[in-house]
Amino acid sequence: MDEVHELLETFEQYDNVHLPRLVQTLHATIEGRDFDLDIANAILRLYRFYPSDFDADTAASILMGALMQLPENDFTLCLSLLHPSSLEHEKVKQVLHMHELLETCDFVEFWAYLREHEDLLDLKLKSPVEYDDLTDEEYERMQNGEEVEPRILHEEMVLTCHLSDFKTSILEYIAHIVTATYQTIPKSTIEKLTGDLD
Amino acid sequence: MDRATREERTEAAVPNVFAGDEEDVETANVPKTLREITHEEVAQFITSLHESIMAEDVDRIRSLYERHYRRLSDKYFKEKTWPEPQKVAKIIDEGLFQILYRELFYRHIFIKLRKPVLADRHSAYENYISLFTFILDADAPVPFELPDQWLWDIIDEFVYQFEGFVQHKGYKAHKQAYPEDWDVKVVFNVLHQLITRSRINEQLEAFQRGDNPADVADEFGNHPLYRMLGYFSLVGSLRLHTLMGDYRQALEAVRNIDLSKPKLISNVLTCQVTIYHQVGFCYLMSRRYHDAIGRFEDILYYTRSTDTQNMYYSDYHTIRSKCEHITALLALAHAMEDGAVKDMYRAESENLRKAADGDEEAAAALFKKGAPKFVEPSVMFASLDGSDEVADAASDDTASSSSKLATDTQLQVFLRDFRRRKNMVNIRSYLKLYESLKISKLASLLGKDEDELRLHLHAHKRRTNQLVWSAGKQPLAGTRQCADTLDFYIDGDTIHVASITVSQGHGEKLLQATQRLMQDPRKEATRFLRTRK
Repeated sequence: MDEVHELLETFEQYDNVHLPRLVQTLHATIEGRDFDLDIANAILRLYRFYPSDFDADTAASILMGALMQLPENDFTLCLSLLHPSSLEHEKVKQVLHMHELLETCDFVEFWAYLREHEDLLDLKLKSPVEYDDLTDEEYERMQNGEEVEPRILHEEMVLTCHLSDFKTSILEYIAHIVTATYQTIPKSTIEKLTGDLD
Repeated sequence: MDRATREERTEAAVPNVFAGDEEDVETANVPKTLREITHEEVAQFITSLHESIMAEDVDRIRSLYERHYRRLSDKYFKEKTWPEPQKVAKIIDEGLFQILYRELFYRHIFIKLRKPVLADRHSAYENYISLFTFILDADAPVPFELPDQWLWDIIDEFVYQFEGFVQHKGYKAHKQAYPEDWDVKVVFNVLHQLITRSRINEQLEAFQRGDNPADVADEFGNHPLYRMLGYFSLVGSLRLHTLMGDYRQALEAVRNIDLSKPKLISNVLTCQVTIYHQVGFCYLMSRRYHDAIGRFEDILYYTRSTDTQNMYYSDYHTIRSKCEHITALLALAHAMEDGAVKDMYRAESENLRKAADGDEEAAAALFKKGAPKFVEPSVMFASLDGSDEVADAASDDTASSSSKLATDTQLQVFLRDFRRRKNMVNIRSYLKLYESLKISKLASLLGKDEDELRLHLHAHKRRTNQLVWSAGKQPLAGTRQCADTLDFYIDGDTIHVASITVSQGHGEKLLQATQRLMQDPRKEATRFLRTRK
């Protein structure tokens, strides 16, 4: 993992050949209940530089992860890295809507919305095809104008994981707001704000 | 030579820097051929520059660069270029000098003449690459030095030309002619290598620990040229990341720079202003409005207080226009903060008032004025043969509209938060009037039902609760606290309002009073005396 972070310190982070590895590492961190903002940002950045690599599901998954970091501003920072056309995708729009609800503290609405869109908790991350490096001989042939088929190291993969900690994180955020706002609060209000969860 | 320049510098303490300095430039060794291609003064300047670079005479280089370059540009080259590098090269055939001369030559075209053509952009790029390759490929530190101002200008100009390149209309054509020019990866790599070679981050960390930076730096890091280039590259990275909307990485880049006092940063004024401007903007986009205001005010106060010295600064007008941008952003940050408006924003008071009331157009105007000229990354890697549909759509835009796209993207991100704030305006002005009031009463005052009101109260808490930076910490760090002078909490069904006033130290109060005294002695003196006890 440190290898990946070192990569992010250099200009290599702008080379989309690393995209598969970044996505795989991010997936591993989410499964390990961690959300690495640096890697997430790196992926979004590569999407911005190489629009053809953009994957709506992965982007939506990253945004869901960022939502879990509230009250930190990770979500806004991720938003800054998205190309406007990305915002047209259905899934991305849904996550954006949830963010809006959470920012305006419309928690009652939020829980209702989440109940109707539980599928958003199932993250899908697309790791694109990973090609092997060309041998010197293959490289020479390519320079001479020949068509060289690069060998495939890994096929394209869709990595999935279920965000079981999502609700807990949001509850922590709500708790943060509530404790900052109230000295005492009626129980019924709390129940409403937490969507009648436990 | 040294004594001459020192005497001449004390003379220059008198205003009007641009006259009567010709003596410094005079030298007996001006080649006759040089005199044939240009004016006498310019020939002298070129020769002196060459000599002082070879002699590693930094003081003389500084004097030539900071005063004479600008003066001669204004005097002889308002509408045309300096003597062609090829012609000069025939007379002074020396590699390093050629590179540095070309740097000045092209910079003049970009900044003063503002009409670079494809060949200019290409040659300027190649020249920078030659320069950086020369500096970075060396086994041992290169045997020359330049004054800090010039080093900063090199880095700043490098990033600036890159920015201009990606946004200009002939982008596609240029890339087809020279596909490798101004590759963003190369630009980053240059900055990155300058940073690592100088071990500037390690040096800064050592300095903060109280250790000696010289111990962690090797021969490169201890050489002033490398050290300063490394330092300025940190700021260059800050700018580059901000241009691409990556605010987090931008702040990471300058994590070891202490932002508590402008003086600590560098003695190059344009560098100081740039750092505070960019960092403040990153804070603004990270919704850390309190910190944004802090940084903007720091630098505006600083430039104001050093204004009398700055007037002799060759880039004075640049500073003034940058300060206008910063003021626009400051007004915007204040609009988000509901804080007190100070009189220095007179220039933007109209827009500030409108933005504070939730006028989106005013906010957008302020944003566009102060924000950097964003670059649209997708343009850079668009395939030029049209095989890539999405990318092609991006590159089909003319450069200016792709930059507009980038700016609009960032503006929209900002406006999302701006719109949320609109709802809070009324609530705060009511809260100011009470020490405590029942939720039901406030609800009826505002004409909203209680549930809706609670929503707004929560949202207000959310917004005013920010990460706040304190001196000595890294820019990204901060403690969570209420960033508003008006705080409240709810107990049961009652809202209790608390006004937090940060108590200033006596020293500060005295300073402020003294400053006011200087402005209008009679009025302020009586007021001051009255409030004293």
